[in-house]
Amino acid sequence: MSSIATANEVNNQDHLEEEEEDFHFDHNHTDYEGAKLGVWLFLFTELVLFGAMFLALFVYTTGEYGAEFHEAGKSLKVMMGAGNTLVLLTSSLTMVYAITALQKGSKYLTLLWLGLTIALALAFMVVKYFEWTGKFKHHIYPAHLSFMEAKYGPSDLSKVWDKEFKDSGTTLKEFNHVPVTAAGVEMSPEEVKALPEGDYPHHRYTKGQVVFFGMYFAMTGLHGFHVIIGVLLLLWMVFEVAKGTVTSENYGYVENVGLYWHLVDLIWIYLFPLFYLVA
Amino acid sequence: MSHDHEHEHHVIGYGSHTLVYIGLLFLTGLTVAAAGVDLSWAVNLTLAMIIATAKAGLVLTYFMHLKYEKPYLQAFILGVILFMFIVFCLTFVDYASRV
Amino acid sequence: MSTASAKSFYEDKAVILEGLYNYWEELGKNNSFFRKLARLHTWVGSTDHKRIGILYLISMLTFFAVGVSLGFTIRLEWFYPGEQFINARVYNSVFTLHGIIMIFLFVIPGIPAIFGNFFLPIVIGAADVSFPRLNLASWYMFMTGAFLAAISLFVGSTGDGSLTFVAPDGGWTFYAPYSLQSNSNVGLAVFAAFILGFSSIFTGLNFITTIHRMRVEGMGWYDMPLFVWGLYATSWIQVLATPVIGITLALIGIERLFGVGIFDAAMGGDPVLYQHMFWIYSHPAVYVMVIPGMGVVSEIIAVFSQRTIFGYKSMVFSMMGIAFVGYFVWAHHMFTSGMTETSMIVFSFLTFFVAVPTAVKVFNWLATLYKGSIQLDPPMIWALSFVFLFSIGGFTGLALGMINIDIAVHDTLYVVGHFHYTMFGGGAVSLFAGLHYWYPKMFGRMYNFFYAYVGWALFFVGFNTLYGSMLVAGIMGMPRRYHDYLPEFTTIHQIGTVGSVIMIFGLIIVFGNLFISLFSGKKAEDNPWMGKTLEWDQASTPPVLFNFKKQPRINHGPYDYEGEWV
Repeated sequence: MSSIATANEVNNQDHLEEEEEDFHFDHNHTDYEGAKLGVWLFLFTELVLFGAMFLALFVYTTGEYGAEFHEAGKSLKVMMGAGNTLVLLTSSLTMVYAITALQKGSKYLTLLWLGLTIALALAFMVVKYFEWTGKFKHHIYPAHLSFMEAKYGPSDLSKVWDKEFKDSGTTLKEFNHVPVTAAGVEMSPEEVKALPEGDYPHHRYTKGQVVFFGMYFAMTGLHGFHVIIGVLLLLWMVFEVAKGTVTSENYGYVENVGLYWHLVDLIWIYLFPLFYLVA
Repeated sequence: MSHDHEHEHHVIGYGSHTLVYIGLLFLTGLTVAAAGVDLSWAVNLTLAMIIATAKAGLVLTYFMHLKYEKPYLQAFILGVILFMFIVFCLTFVDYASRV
Repeated sequence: MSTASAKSFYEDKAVILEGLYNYWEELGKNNSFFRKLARLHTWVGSTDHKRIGILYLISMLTFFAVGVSLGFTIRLEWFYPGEQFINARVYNSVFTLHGIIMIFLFVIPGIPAIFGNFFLPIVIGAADVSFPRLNLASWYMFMTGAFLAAISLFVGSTGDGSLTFVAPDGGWTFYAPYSLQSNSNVGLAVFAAFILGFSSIFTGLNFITTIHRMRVEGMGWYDMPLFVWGLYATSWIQVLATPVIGITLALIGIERLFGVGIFDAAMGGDPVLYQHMFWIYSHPAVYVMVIPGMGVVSEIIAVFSQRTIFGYKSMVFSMMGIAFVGYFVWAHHMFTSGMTETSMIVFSFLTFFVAVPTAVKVFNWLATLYKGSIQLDPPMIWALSFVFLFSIGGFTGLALGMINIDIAVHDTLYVVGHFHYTMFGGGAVSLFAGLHYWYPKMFGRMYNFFYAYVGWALFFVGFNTLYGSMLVAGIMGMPRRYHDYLPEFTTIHQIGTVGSVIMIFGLIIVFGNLFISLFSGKKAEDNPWMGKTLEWDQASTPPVLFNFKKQPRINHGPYDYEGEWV
């Protein structure tokens, strides 16, 4: 118990005995640069989040599944992907236009550009909706029996039915809808392949293709989720600008939402070639 | 504590933004066209990544204002990219050396 | 709402939902229940960093106690071979939960959540962190994750309708494919870990911004105490590494729900990829556990030798260096996973580099002690224990970094001994050191030194008995995560269990002392240890709201025991 000194003895020599001012700290100034730094740090976490998924995608693309990814990628419509890329790039443009407008003090132009950004974001989601439902129509979705096949082997559909569908009320015949010719004979694999693009009931997927679509849904799904969050943030900005709380004096909020929005665009810039152009 | 009572109101004009946008459109067209040319998948992939990185660079530098930010922020972004790149490479030490 | 964006927290009592608080206060004028509610609101609704630090302290020590009980259950079960009082399925859940709770709810939040929150702003002369409401949100996320992890013990059925034991099993590492297939509550547990990850990320983000933006006039980067540098390095790891575990666990959850096939080999996925992605976070995470402790130990050693830290800049760069190199060594956890020999060699080689900055720190601490006026008060005893125990952990870690040794002892008790020496003897011991160091400042009272020493001594003896026995048992061949064992290991396990009893007894005395002293301890002075950093120099005991009454002035460096501005 030897070291406890009395505080006054030790400390006062260190203080210059001038008049001590009261503690002054920022009252109503938000720290513009600090807020921006905080948002950038958050963007770093998003970069690493998606980066890890890109790592997994790269591992599979450059690895054993190269050919199958190529094959599976053909089922994605390049024009829809390219279109969505243009939509997002344009929305990034309208976003920076909004910031410029706000800095120049024109509230209505700002609202216009923000509104356009939101509209383009929603357009992106609409295109994505059609893409996904298009896949669902072709029975390409996780846990579908086509995918189950990769797990249980192509000729073991009865095992799949036993384990996954028996209790659901589906009959084995309904489940087992293998394409048949007009004569009622089961089609051979070559005949199945030769069928025209359309809603034919059954297609067999290899493991590589299963992984491709798994990654596709996971990554575009996570990206789409971020687009939705972006729309909400943009709506909030519209609200604040319209109300007049965010002006050319404190435009930091809009700038920071813009930074988030550009990140969403950035991720798509990499997603597009890796999924759509890999074919 | 730094008080930025007058942080630079650096306003980038509509024209400058539009130029960057045109550059992005051009690169997008380029990448779609390049995908049509059938070189080996490794070359195609590398080309696509280079073009994507060029687009990302334009978005980061101009749209996200990085060119006009303080040096420490620019250093951070480069550091993060470098960090991710090293992690990628180290993971591929495993995958690339598999037969 | 005024044109200032959000009402500045500085102007109110630093609570959220201030209207609600006023409502309780109003009702509380005639009603003691509402008075108590208002008081509760000023704690769980407070954005004041000091209160948030105390909230973390209380919750984390509670979780620590739960984790210790789980660990003790393992030791009791292991007193004799064969089943003693829990079966294998329950045992698997016990060690899984022990890991989850200790890692995600105690050591990773660790020093930053408690002492970083309480002291970072004070030590740099600020009124609070950069984003106080985000800080409170981090604590809410922490408690949410903890709650979800807790209910994963009980909620849910096994799929065929019966409600059997569903607590997660398979280890805190959630390796695929078992985590994908196990019908225990893995889904809920990984979701809890995901939320906890975000709590960690936002704390790190907050600290980085605070350190960049809110230092008082006159405190440049190289005038900051090493505690702050430790928090800075740690925060970068939290920001850059945690998202990887977030997405990895999210993918496990998605695969369990939707069957996508990313890690499941039967569907074409690669389980080794899971391990890569898991350890890309989880290795840097161990530096999150230890680097803040190194910062705290630097503070304590300087103060209790009344000497300036030897080699300040090399201490700074070594902490940043550990953080940096620590990102690139993760696959040394995977030497036996089936990855290629080339990558084993590369990662083993890189692993050795991370020991270098650590050694620099150990030498600098020793050099600081040399010719110092050493006071072996409880904080100093704990800090020196850190140096000793963490060094043992570090040496055993080096051994594990060698491929040939690792292949022999991987998944044995040797590894368990190693990481308890580093995470417990390093991470947690430094937390205890910080607790004894800052206790008088936080609570305004001093604890009893005699019981502090007794508790420490029992802890130290018990700790080394327990974890030393694990190192031996591991080399003897005892595997980890095994419910039962061969009879030849009985003696070594009994020694370990006796050690655990002594250690826990010591912990009870240590924390009992600290708790009782809250009520009956002597009132503490402002600067009982004669420290030179701002929390001792210029903040009151305990610190007031917004920390300083008078503008803090930097007249000397943080370790200036030999004159002004040396």
